[in-house]
Amino acid sequence: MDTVLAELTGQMAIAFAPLMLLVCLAGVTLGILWGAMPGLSTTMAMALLIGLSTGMTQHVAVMFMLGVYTGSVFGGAISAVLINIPGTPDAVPTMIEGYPLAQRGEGGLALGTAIAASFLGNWVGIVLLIAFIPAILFLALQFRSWEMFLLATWGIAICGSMSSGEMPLKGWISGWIGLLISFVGLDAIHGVARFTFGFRILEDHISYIPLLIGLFGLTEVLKVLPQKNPPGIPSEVGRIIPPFSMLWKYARTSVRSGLIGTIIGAIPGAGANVASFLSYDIARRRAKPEERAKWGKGSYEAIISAEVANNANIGGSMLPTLTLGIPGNAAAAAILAALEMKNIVVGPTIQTENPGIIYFIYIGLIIANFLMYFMAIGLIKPCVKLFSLPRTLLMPLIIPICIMGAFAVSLSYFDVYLMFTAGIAGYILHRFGFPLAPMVLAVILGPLADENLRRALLIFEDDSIIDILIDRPLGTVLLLVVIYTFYDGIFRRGKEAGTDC
Amino acid sequence: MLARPVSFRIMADTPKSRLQTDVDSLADGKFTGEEGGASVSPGKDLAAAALVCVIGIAAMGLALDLDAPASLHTAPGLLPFITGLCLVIMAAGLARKALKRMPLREILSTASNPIGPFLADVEGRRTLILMALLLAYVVLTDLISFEIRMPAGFYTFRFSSYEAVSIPVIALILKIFWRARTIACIAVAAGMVIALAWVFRDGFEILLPGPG
Repeated sequence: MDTVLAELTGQMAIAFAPLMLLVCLAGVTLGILWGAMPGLSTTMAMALLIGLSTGMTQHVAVMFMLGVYTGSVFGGAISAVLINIPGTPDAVPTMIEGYPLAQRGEGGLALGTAIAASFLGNWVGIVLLIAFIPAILFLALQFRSWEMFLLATWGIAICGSMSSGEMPLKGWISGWIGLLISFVGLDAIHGVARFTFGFRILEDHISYIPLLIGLFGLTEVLKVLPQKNPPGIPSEVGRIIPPFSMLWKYARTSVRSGLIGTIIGAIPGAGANVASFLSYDIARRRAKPEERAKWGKGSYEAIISAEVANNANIGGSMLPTLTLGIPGNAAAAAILAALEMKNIVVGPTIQTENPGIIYFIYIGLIIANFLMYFMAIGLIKPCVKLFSLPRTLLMPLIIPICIMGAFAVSLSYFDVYLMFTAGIAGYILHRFGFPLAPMVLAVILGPLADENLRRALLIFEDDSIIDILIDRPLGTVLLLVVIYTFYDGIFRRGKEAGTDC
Repeated sequence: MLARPVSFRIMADTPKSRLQTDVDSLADGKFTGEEGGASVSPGKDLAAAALVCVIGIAAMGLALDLDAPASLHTAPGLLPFITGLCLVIMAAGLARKALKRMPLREILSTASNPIGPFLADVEGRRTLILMALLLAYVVLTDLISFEIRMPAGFYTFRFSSYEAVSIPVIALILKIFWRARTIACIAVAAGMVIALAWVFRDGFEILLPGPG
């Protein structure tokens, strides 16, 4: 207990240093502005800023990334409400409800509600993160090679399912191609060169950071820049701070949405988008008839349900990222990359290998949440001005950041070519309807799956399948979960879609 | 049923834009996926299935060629082989689904010119131009390397090949897509590239491509 208190106090002293607060403020501000810009997603912000974080110290980098993450998830709501374009995909429900309110002159109040809901959502996510980390870490320490292999496989499979809706097959294909990419290089057990085709540079494996930058940065530029779009129309916003009585009225919805957001966040591959959509749908079904009548025409309860969920998702996504090394979503993969670049070993041993870092992350999230609340209120009016800038002006400026970011990771120009190739491949995959998140997740989890499968098979050499199933109950449960994930994708969701897979 | 928002400014790059798909899915109470496993034409799905199948078979072949220094259980090609096999099976599933949606004969009759519709579309042509410019940008940044240092009292101004390549390329991209006056494009490109280079190089001491 004393050690915990000492660590907590130590980390608080670091986190509340003026420089840290300033860095977090910069991250939150950048995140809100980024998220507010139509077409610039949270994942894109995170992927591009990994490059910038290479020049920061460990704690500064973590604080900066947490600030950007928290800010950008909320930022999407601003453009959704004011100009009817969601800044990030998870802000679509907020757009449906917020824009009609803005047209009635209640845009400020709609945004104020979204800010309060985001603040509350972050709190739910943080509290659940703090509450569940010890239990998940304890469970994670029981995992051996077989369980780790199954967990990695499940992570890729569920990410494939969640990211591609009615076509899980496409998500799985994307993930399995990612696995093949992860095998490139010297194998960890025997040092045999795999898929290197004689190129020495490939022996050092393909780094997933340039891939992340290419797939979520350059691909987005290729998707958005060639579109012809008229400039946004700025609006007046009016009153911003919502009355407390209104927030209290929807307290039940807030708590339910917070739980949904956090749980969804903890599932690999299921990001803020899934959280806000699911929470919005459930809240609509549960709303009182008089409230349900407002749904789609400007409902404050609907805004709360979506915004609480997508922000609670942040805390939820950190849960598997920190305890198992499996990112909760693509944005969390960028956090994972930033942590690994700063030599922070995530996974079951995070507490022993990096004493105190978990507490620092908790405190960082809390600080970022408070700063998000105040900055969001302060930035609404500047954002209105920002929307008058055309995307055709903003998107080209992302290209040099992609190149600088990819190069900065290991100062190798090969990574820039890799980022470019990933960007083009990402665009082609997008045109063919394949999601990109499972690929990135698989590149991260591939080495984990590969090493652990081979170790497990060596351990099980003389055991029968029945023995393995009985002796490894945790593994058996995970195996059933993996089988169910595939079954659900192939049969149940296929039936819903009227096809298979 | 939800009331549809008045208008959208995101143009569709597939038959239905992602935004419209999301809005429709919310109205129907159906979720289309985190990234929207977009429903594309059966022809595209069939072509993708063929390519995935080739990748899977190639991976299996390459995996079988790998040395196995110890037992089969620790063979380096074990998981790559299984992954390749899974991809072949998934490709078969995707092809089956595509053929269920449209018979092969019909797919082939519409697929005589697969790139045609993409090139006929203005956005498609603009995307190809952008890809070519990006390729030129990446290659030029790699090939050209120099740095000019101008000491001015306590600060040394640095101008490297990275800025020299980035400014004209970004200005050209702005000219094509933003369509503002040339001088405005150059000014914006120069301002942004120099500011970014300063933040990375001087602010965070991160080396830039070229001489750094």
